[in-house]
Amino acid sequence: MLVIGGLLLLCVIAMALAAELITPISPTRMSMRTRFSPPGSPLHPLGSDAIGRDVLSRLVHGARVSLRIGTFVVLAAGVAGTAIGALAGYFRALDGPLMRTMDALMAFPAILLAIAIAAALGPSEVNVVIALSAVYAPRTARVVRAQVLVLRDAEYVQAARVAGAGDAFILRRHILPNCTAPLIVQLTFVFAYAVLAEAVLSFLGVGPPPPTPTWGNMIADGRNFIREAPWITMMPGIAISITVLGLNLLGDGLRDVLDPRMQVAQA
Amino acid sequence: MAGYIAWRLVSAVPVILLVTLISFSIMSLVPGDPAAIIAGATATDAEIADLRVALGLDRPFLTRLVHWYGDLLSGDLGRSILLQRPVAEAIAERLPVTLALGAYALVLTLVFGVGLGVVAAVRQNTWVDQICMTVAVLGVSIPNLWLALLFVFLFAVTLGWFPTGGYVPFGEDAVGALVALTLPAISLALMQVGLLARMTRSAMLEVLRQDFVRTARAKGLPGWFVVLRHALGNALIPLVTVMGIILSLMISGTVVIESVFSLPGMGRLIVNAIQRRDYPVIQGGLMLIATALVLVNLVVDLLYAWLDPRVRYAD
Repeated sequence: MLVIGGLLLLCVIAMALAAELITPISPTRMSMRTRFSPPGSPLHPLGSDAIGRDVLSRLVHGARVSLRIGTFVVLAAGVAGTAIGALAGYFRALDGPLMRTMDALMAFPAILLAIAIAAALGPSEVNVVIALSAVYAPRTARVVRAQVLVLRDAEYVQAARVAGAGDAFILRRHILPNCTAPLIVQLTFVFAYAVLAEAVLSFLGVGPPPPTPTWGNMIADGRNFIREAPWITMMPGIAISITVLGLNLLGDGLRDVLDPRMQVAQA
Repeated sequence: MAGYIAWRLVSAVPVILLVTLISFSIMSLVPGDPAAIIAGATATDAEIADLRVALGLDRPFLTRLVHWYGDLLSGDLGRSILLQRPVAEAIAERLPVTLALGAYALVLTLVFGVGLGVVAAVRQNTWVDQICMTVAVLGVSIPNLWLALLFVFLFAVTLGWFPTGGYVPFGEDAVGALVALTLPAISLALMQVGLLARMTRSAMLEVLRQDFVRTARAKGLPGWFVVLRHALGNALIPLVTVMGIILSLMISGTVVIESVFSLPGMGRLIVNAIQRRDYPVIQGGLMLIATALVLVNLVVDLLYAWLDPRVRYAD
């Protein structure tokens, strides 16, 4: 699982990095004479869309946007989730207020809250990252907190405390390093959710605005021509599925390697 | 048990209060003057000023919040700017569609999710297990939005077996209603089927390893009876806890699926409101959904504690 997932993800990353090498055509260049070219055309190997833009070019440039959004969401949700989870787990006085706030944020269906936040802030890539980070940071905080709660009372932590170590030192040196395994697994799944969510947000018009080549925008563009030109919708869907499948397999594999007892009950 | 129930009820109160506060504050995230943005570029100053009063934006945040809570207590969710009618009324009108779609998808989720998980666990490490788990991981990886469009292309446009969208009320034509909801329900269920199948499998494997299962087999009970009665009965208990997650995922899903299949449900109402910045509907819709989910999770927790007494004493 680990290997297959890693390979799938590497393919997507390579595709994103080598976008210009794969096709020299600009993802936003229109050409009315070659609209709706089917896949296999000499100019457009994966076809062209309703205004003659190259599907392959939009696909590989869309990979960049998806991976960029995923990376920044993982970083932001990871940092914020770790900080909140560590504080709530370590300091009993903070646990109630912090975790009840996280519970309230998690009470909203994830995608629905992300749509509402992104729409309020205005459609842009940065706002998609902010919305998804706000949605997935609480879920990350819960994972970190659970781990910190266990470690806080571990004997080696008590020993460090008796030896005169301060709270900040114990957290940084003894507790957080032991949270990395569940955190890495959790963030792999957060990356997968972010890629799926980008598609929904763009599809509903609250993601990076057109003509930005994103997979969600491509699905939205192709939707009205699904009869005449199904490839416009099919290609980005396959790309999303491969990326998310790769991340899910990677997450499952990492979980089995890092901690076989850990359960995922995150959504 | 009474102590546990009381503790769970009390701890839900601050969460519900925070949920209503977050729902209300969404409009404050709009940069600049929300009234000007909601009214659009072509609005005159007088229209913007009217809208500001209608939204209560001429008053300070705290005053508005207190008013909102007061209205909530009397069952008033405000008035939609777009539909020119009470939010509660608009939601009540759309709710049956979403409930019908959700119930259909939930049945599919439980039957196929639990089914795939049980079969995979009983046939652990065989090709049957591998097929079930491949279906499950694909289920959580394929975007439901895309799957829905794929279904429309294959089964509605190309083969003509199902309508491409639209809603038929159950009262008028029960069979037609089921047919019209079949593609949406399958697209909506897939992700939760995958999730539940994976969880059922690991819960079943856990139980199948235990002594009482071996005892049941040893005393000569038929294999299927042991699997269904002894193993599944116990494996279902931890699965109760994921019902909240499954419902939450399904509500996120209805937002998308109702848009793809043009179903006049609550999800589409909220998406339209979000796209056209009808904030009273957004605030009321988010608040209702999140509060309902908090209550569902509360019931799930109490049910779990009732089924498994160890939980009550852990906290």
